[in-house]
Amino acid sequence: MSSPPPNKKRIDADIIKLIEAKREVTILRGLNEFLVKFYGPKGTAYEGGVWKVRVDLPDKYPYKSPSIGFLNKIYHPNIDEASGTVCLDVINQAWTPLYDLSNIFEQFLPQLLSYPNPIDPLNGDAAALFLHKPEDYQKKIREYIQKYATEEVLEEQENPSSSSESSMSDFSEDETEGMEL
Amino acid sequence: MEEDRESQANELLALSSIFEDEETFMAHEDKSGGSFYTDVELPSDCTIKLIGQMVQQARALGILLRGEDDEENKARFMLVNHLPPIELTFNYPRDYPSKSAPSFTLSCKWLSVKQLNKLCEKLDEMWTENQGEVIYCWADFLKSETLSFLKLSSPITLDTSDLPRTMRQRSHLPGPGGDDGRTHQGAVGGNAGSDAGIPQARAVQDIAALPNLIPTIVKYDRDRREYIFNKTPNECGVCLEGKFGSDCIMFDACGHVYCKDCMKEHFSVKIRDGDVKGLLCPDIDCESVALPSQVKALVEPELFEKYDAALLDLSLSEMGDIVYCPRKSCETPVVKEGNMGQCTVCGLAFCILCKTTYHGLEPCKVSEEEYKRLADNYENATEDEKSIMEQRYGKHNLRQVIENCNSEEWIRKHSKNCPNCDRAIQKFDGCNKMTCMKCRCFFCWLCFLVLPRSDPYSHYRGGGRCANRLFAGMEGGDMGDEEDDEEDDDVMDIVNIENWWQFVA
Repeated sequence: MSSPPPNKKRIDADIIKLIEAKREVTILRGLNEFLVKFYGPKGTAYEGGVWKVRVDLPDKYPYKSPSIGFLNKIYHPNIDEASGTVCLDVINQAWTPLYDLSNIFEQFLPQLLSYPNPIDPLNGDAAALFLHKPEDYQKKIREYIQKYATEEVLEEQENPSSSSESSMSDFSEDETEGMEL
Repeated sequence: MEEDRESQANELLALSSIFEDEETFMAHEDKSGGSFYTDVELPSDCTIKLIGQMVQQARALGILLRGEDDEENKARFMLVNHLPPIELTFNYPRDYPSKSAPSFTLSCKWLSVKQLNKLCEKLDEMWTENQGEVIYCWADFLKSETLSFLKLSSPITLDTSDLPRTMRQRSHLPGPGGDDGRTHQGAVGGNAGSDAGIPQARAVQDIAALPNLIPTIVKYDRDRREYIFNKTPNECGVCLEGKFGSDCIMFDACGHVYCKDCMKEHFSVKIRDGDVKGLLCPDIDCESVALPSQVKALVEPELFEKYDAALLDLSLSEMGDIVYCPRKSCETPVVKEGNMGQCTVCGLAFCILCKTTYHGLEPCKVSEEEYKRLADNYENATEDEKSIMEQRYGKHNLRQVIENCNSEEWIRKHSKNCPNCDRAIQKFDGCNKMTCMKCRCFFCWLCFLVLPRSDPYSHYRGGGRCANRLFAGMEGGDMGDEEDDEEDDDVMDIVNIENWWQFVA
């Protein structure tokens, strides 16, 4: 019906670059929404965790920055605990159209997880712990990973073992804890 | 002779095809010869040494010169990528190439007659040394060996001793009176084999007078660079499309190149976001700023106006404590004292907000109604009345007022005002913790509280009225709609994850 959008070549190239870097990419809708599996950076408390990160490309991509959201919970001062949204400001400030998605996953997110910015936090509890009780902070991160961010949990969510349709909403924090296959 | 004619035709054909892309060779239509416009190869980072009036001429053309700035009469150095070509025009005698050399002239704008004569002699020599088709060798020599042959190297010193100092001088003086029958501009060459009877000036410095020299060189350099840039394909780093330079722009300071389409979008997005200071080269950490002329050439006129106005606003506000005296005849910059400015020239004390006589603690009198009345009056006025009003208020100002009135309603519908500085703000995306682009304060989009700098998000925690509503009302967001208010974090999270996974399935 309509000709491909002018940024199609660029978006294609971005996705190919992600796949070439051995990232697991799931296309959700069109080429503008997709999921990328993201592993916690080595040498940080997030090591061992795995998250599904949702990427939304605005129409004006790459002139406007993508929106990034963590689908499974992550404990981090700059990521909203409830929605998983990464504060827009944090990406916007550094963004230029020359950045691409691999920058987001190779540099930006690892950087953000390694060096949170507690001054302008989205998750105040996490920021407070980070500043005042670093050990508890690390512990909490690992707890969250155990509950929400292991391969097993992800798999369980994708292929729920109990076939009832409402299984998702039956998830509670207590149950997920022991849900290893 | 038939053989010679054939050789000549073949040589012209070969030259035409060799230099077709460069567009530097043209055969005469009657095939009696041709002309070369040969760019002399320059070393990279080549400069020309400027002295005396040449320095001022180059500065007047906006060229940045190298050289110490403290000593006024010292030489300065001008970077050049290209110098105007040497024009070699040749004509075949009947018996070329079997017996006679082609007759030729050399002309150039920046080489002196003396220098050109040396080149002429060298070309003669080349013919004598190996007769036969010689034109390609000549052109190649001029291109690649002119500088070394004339013992010129960067910084190049221009030999201007023979040039008339002014245009007037040129039209009145026959020249410095050369030794061997030279005119000031051309010289007779003893061309072996040509008709000895008619002396010909075969070396010509093709410039009228000294004042023309630097402007000519600067213009050629610019034109040539642009010509080459336009013909060179670039891959735009943003859209990854290959585009010719003519569809690209280059950032002046850093030399980075992107396609016009991408920069149009890039600038437009930035201007719409009010981020005019950031019209930078997109290269990571590159600080080159786009020139206003480049922005103007690319973005829509309304956007350019917005950019222009914001830029002015910004530079004025960066001056911080300076306002201008509102008296049209005065307009002296005045240092603010609170809300008041007192002009040091005309003595007027004025309110810096409404630009009328200082009114102490009273609020400014210029009300919205007054603006509206003015706009209505103007729109309903006759042509004559309009021109009187325009004289009084300024046409531009009136148009602005009308525009403001028309868009006022739109703004009221679509925007909210910053609780700190009152700037109208439209929210497109993101959470409810807003940052005002003007005063940089944080505020809550839901309740208009100015939020603490230290921890703005604290507002969305705890038990306040906006608790857990950081993302409330976000388009497409399934979080925190009005109904969700009572639900606790965990429940919302489950709703949320469920929706996400529906997408995956």
